[in-house]
Amino acid sequence: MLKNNILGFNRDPKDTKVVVAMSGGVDSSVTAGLLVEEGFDVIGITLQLYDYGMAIQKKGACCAGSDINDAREVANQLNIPHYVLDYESKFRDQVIDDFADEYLAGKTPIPCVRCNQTVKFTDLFKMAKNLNADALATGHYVQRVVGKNGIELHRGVDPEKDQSYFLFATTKDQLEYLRFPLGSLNKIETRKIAERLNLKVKNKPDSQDICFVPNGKYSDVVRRLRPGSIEPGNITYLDGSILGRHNGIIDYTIGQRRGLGIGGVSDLEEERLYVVDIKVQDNEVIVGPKEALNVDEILLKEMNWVNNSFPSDKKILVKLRNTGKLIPAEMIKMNDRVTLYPTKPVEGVSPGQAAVIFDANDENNVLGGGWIVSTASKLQKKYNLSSSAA
Amino acid sequence: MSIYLDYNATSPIRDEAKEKMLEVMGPPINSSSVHSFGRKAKSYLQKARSEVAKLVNADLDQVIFTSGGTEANSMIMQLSNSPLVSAIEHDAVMASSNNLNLINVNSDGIVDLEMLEATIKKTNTDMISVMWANNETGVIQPMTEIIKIAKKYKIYIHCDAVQALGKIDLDFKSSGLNSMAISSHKIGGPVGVGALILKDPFDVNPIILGGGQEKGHRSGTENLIGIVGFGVAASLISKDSKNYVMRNIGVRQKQFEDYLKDNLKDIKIFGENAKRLPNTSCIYMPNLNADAQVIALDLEGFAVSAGSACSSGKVKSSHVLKAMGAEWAANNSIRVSSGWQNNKNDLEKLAHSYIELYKRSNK
Repeated sequence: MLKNNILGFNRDPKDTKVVVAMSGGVDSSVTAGLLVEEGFDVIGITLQLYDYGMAIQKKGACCAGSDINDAREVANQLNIPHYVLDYESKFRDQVIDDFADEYLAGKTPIPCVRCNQTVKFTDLFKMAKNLNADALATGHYVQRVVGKNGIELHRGVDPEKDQSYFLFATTKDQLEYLRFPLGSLNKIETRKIAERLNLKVKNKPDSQDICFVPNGKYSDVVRRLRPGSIEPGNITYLDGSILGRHNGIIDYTIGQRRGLGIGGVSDLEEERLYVVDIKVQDNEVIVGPKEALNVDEILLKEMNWVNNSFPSDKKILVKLRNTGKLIPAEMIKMNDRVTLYPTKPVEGVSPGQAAVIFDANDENNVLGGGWIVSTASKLQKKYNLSSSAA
Repeated sequence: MSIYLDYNATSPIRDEAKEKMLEVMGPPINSSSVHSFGRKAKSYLQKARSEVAKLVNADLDQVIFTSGGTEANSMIMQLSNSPLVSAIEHDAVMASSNNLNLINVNSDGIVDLEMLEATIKKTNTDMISVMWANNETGVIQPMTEIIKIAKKYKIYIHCDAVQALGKIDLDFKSSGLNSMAISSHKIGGPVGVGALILKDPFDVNPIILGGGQEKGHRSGTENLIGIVGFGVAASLISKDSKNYVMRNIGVRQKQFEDYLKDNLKDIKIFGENAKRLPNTSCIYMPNLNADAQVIALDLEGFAVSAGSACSSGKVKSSHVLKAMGAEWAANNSIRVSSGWQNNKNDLEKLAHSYIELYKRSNK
């Protein structure tokens, strides 16, 4: 009898057709390389998501154009069929527009989650099914684990590379079909495989930024996308006193300390000030002391539960930003929304970011999560901060 | 090995053309040279010119070799400030001017002659350019009527005949056209060669200046290897004076379309009621994007295409179907274009795979 192959199918790898989402980076190239090496019937697909020249409005060193070429060359090297799909308009409608609108609404969006949710795991997913593929594989550092209660999404083995935060919105149906061959590897191992397979991209640096914001200046991109909708306004202290002016709320994120651009205070004083709130209606950035960042209530919307059901245990662990720690909290469900009560107050929670929820008994197990709508705290209530208004 | 059914994109090179090209590939071949090598080169060049001229019924000195259909079209289109063109032209014509006056086509893809005439009166244009046959649908335009209208108003008339060449008879001299663009790689010659056929050689300004080759119309040492291949490919088509090859292709293509229509009720073949090139079918399938269709069929061993792919390989949705009022189908239609190397069963095999694909995605 045949053993299950490494993608979990009870048949010879050569009879298992798998689409690999190839970005042209090392991770997805190694994913394709590993599956080819195992003998799977691999099809590479690269998504053309945006016009790089338009994104930065100048000619640059590294660009989507060259990423697509890298993917093409790796596919050539691996001798697999490879296709480029033009998803520019889908990506603009479902990811870039949302990104700009969220910033204008004073929030801090995560376009990578939206992209996984829409373009990758809806549109590409459908394409893979149309091609009669048995699975869609990506180079994400997360693990798909078949547990006793069904399929679970677990953190990648390498804590540095773990991408579970960006995949909390993966639905049960999607997870059934998805495979993440790199989830059990660490970055060094991946690089070693790239070296062993002598992939053309083996020395390519990891990408750091949001793909369509290559130089990290997201506010420039928002300004270009939404000209005329960004107005200067006041930077105000908690008590209402005006400390300075800003050139648009999109330049600020809750918890931000550096580069506030407050003219009227000394550098030392500015060092002690944090962005504690963004009031969209008044076009105001509110600053205050570190304590004012503390919140003890977090409201979430658009919940996704990986196994399709609300967790039985209300005690959970939550991650409030990608680089954040796991925080113990209690969770209460109200209709389709959820309120989190962290055991201890937490600071720097930005609406628009994701709250990703882990099993308190197994901190690798991603139960699901939602989008942060608003926060509340005693101090916020005292100063009538807008984040408290759910 | 995949079955190739994308002849309208490019065709395989005919063995006879390849043989002749190999013969030329080696000796020094600059037809401008005075010495014996140069004279030999010149004789190859003129032979090819006469073969191409014969295929389209033009005089020898009416044939100017270019780097392809795009260059031939550009040479003409740059002469006008506001040309009148059909809404279904190839990008080689569409991209040539920022000031095009578009003439609509009907739902069968045929140019609206009344609008053509009305627009002439309204715009005082100095040029009309209409393609002989469309690359995506194969629909053949009423060139006789279009040329008649152009003559009536004494307007320069150009034709992009790249896709029509070798598939239907073209008679340049009796057509009344002022100029016509053709290309080698659609008829079994190599890529990188085409020709501009000119009624009056003084009509055109060169866009590539230099040593004055092609009577000053197109400088640069001639691509003799390519030109020779073009000549042989042209002569092979002329030889088949009864159009036996294309007639045969047409019969199979028709059977293929009928078989699909009998089995699948809600597909559509564009330009069905119009005269079309014998080898071309543009087919709409509901519920599956054209790129998915093309990829799925490629994986099953069939090379077909969707709309016209740009150089990066990404597929644009078809402006041709949009112009025909079928925007709803523009992202769901593929083109199947067969040719002389296809054998009897190729289209039959494709039909079976296509029907399977349809059933899979229209469950």
